[in-house]
Amino acid sequence: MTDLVEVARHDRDPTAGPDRAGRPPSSCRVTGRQVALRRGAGALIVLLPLTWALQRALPQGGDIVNRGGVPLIGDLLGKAWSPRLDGEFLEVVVDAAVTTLAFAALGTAGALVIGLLGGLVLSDVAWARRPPWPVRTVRTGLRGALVAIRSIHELVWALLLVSVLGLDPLVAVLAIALPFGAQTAQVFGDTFDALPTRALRALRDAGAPAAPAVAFALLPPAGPLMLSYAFYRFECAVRSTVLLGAVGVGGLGQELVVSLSSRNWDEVWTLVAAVIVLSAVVDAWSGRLRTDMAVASCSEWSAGDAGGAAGTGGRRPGSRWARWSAIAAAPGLVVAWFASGVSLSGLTSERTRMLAGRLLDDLVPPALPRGGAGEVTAAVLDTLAMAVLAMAIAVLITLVVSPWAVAVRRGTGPPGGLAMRSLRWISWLVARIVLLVLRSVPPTVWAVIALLALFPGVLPGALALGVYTGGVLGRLVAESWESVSPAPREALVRTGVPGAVATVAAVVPASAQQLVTFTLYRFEICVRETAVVGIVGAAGLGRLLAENLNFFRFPVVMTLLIASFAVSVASEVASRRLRRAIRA
Amino acid sequence: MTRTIATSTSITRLATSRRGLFVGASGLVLLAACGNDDSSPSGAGGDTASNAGPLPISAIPDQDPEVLNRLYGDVAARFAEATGLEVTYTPVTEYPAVVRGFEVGDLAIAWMGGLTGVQAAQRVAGATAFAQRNIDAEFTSLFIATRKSGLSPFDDVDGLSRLAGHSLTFGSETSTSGRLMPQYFMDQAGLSIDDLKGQPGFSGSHDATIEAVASGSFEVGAVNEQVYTATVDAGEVDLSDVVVLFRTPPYYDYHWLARPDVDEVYGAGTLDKVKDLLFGLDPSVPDDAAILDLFGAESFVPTENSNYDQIRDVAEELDLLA
Repeated sequence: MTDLVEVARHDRDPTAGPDRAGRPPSSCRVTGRQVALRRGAGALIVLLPLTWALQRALPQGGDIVNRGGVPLIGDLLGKAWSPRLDGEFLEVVVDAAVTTLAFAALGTAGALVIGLLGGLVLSDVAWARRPPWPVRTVRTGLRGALVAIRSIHELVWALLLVSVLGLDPLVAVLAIALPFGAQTAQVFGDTFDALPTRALRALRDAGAPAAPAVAFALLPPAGPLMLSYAFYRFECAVRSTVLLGAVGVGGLGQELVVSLSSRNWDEVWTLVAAVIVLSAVVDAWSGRLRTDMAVASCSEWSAGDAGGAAGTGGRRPGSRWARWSAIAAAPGLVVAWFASGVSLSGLTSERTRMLAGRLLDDLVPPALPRGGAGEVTAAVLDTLAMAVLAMAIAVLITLVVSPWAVAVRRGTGPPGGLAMRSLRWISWLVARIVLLVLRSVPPTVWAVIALLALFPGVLPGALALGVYTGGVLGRLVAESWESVSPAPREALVRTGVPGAVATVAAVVPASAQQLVTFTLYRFEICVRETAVVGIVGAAGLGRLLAENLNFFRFPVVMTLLIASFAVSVASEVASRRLRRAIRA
Repeated sequence: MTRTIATSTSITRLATSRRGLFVGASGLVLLAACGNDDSSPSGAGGDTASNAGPLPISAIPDQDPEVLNRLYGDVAARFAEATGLEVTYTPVTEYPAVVRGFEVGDLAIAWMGGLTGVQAAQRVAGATAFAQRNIDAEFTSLFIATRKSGLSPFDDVDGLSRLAGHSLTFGSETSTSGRLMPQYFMDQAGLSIDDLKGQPGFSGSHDATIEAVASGSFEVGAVNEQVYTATVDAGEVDLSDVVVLFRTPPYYDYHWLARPDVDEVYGAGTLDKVKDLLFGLDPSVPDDAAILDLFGAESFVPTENSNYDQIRDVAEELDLLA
C-alpha cells in the first residue's frame, strides 16, 4: 500500500522522478522498431480490454435492448422543452439548491481540514529532518487509511453513515468530507513537498518551534494553490451532493429522486436545469480563480500536476477575485452551517455510539454473498467491464466535442474574417455547454434513462457513466489542449509545411498523450463511480452492494467493500504504471 | 369499497400529473375531510408531555411520493390530534430507508409492508405490529401483462411457467406484493428468474410497475392488487393494453409497526391512543372516511407479529432475509 502511494507520489511530481532526471533524452535512443513495438503494445492495451468488456456486456443470446421502453425515452426527452416552472415548484427548487450548496460547502470545508492536517503529516518537508519512527509508523498507517477512505465512493459512505446517524444532515457533510479529505490530504502533502523549503529551514535552524515555523513558512506560499484547490473540490462537491440525494439527505438530489420516482419528467428537467446552472456558476467562479492566480488548471489538478505548479504558485497573489473569494469563504460557511441545520451533536450522542458499535459488529466478520465467491468475482468483472466501456464512450465524446471546446488563443486564431472567427467562437460555446450538460446531469439520471431502453446489466451502467464521464473528460482534455504549445506547429508552418500536415506532426502527438493520460486517470475514478449506477440498478459491485444493503446483510457488505477497495487500488496502480510508462 | 377507492384515487391520479392540480385537489380534500383541523397541534396535549420532540412517523414509498406526502400529511394530523403530540411525517425515497430509520429510532411508528416489517422486527427486538387494514389479512398480488406479449389469463399457479421468455418487472426489491410473494409463486410454478427475458426490472413502486407495463416497457409486471384496482378505477392511466393474467393466493401484508420504546419516549399511553384512533375510524364519519379512502381500506383491525411468520418463512426460503 505504501508502495502504491510512493508510486503515486513519483507520478505526481514530474520534477522529482529520479529516473526522469537520470536518463538521457529518450529520443536519442529509440529506434523505429521500438516505436512500432510500443505502438503495438499500446494498441493491445486498448483493444484487448475493450473487446473483453464488450463481450461481457453483450452476452450471447441474452436480450439487451428493451424495445418496449424506447418510445418512453422520446416522451421524456420531449418534456425537456416544457419543464415545470410555476412559482410553487421553483420555490422548492431554490430551497433545494441552497441546501445542496450548503452541504457541498460544509463538506468541502471538512475535507480541507482533514486534508490540511493529513497533508502536513504526510509531507516530508513539514518535518525538519527524517521524522522519528513513531511518526513514520503513523504515516504509513495514515497513508493506508487515506487510500481506503477514498476508495469508497461518497454515495456508499452516505449509505453506511445513514445506518449510524439516521437521516441527519451530517450524513451528507461527512460523506463528502471523508473521501474528499483523504484525496485532499494526498494533494496537499505533495504540494508542501514541492514548495521551496529554504524559508522553513531557516526558521527551524534559527530555533523556531515546528508549528509556528510551518504556519509562517509553509502555509503562505501554499496558500494560493490551496485556495484554488479548495474551489476545485467545491465544484466536485456540488455534483457529489446532488448524487447523495439518492440516500435521502435533502437538496436538489433528493428532489430529483422524488420526481424521478414519480416519473414527473417536467420536474426532473427543471431540477436538472438547476443543477446545470449551479455547476456552471461554481465552475466559472473556480475557473476564474485559477486563471487569476495562474496556479493550476482544473486539468492539472486532476492529473496531480499541481505539485509541479507549486513552484510558480502565487504569481499573482494580489488577484482581487481570489481575495474576495477567500474573504467570502468564512461567512459563507457560517451561512451554510445555519442554512443546512447541521449539528455536530449527532457525532457524540449515545445513540450514535451504540449504532456505530452495532454496525461494526454487523460488518465483521465479512461473509460471502449467497452466490459465493463466484458472485463477487462476476461483480468485480462487471464493474471493470462497465468502467472500460464507459471510458470508451467518454473518449468518443471527447474526440468529437473537445476539439471545438478548446479556447482560441488570441492572435493564433484561424485566419479569416469576423464571420469565421465568430463561427469558431459559437462552436466553442456550444461545445462547452454540451460538456457542461453531460457532466452536470447526475449519472443516476442518465442511468434511469438508459434503463428504459436496456435491460438491467453492464451496458446501461456503462452508457450512463460514459456519457457523464465524457462531460468531465472532454473538459479536462480541452483545457489541457489549450496548454499545448503552438510553437512547434508555427515553426513547421513557417518552413513551408502545409497547415494540416504541421498540425498532425506537431499538435496531435502532444494532444494524444494528454488524452491518454487523462483517460487513464479518469478510469480510476470511473471504477469507483460504477457504485453510483450500480445503486440505481445497473450491474457490478454497486448493484450487489445495494442489494445486500437493502436486505441488511452487513457481513456481505463488508466483503464487497473490501472487494471495491481491492479493485480500486488495483486499477489505480495499473493506471499510474501506464501513465508513467507513457511519460517516460 | 370500489367506489370509495375511486374517489380517492381519482384525486390521487390528478395529483401526480401536475402539482398545480395536486394543490387544488388536496385543497378540496382538506376542505372536505379535515375541516378546520390543520392548525399545528404541537404540545397541545400536556398530560403526556415528554421531552423527546415530535413523534416521527413514516411509510414505505410504495406509490408516487406526492401521493404519499398528501396521504401521510393527513394521517400525521390525525395522529397529532389523537396523541396530543406534534407528529412529523418524514418522506423517504426507498423501502430500506424506512427500515433503517425505524432501526435507528428516527421513526417511532411506520407503515410497513410485510417484508419490510419482518426486516424491521428482526433488527429491532420487541417491535410490534399492531394494526392492519381489513384487506391486509388476505392480500393479493396480480400479474399483469401488455397485450402485445400474447399472454392470456390463467387460474392456476402453474400457469406462471408461461411467463418464461417474457420480460418482467417487479416493484421495489423489498416489496412483499410487488416482489417477494410474486417471486415465491413463480418459484412454486417452477419458473426461475433466469427463464425470463433479460434481467427482471425493479421499478421501485407499484405505480411505476403499472406504468412500465402499460407503456410496453416491460411485458409482465407483478403488482399490488389494491393499487392496481385503484388505478383502474381512477381511469387516469391508459390501461387499454393491459391484461390481468393471474391473481395470487392470499397472504398477510401491510401493517403499522411500533418501536418498543414508543410509550417510554413519547409518553405513556401514546401507542394506545394511536390504536384507538385507527380502530375507531368510522367510514360513516366524513373525516374518518377520508383517511380510510386514502388507504384504500374499510377499516383498521388489530394484528400481531405472528401473522407475518409466513412472510418470514417465504423470505428465508427465497434467501431474502439477512
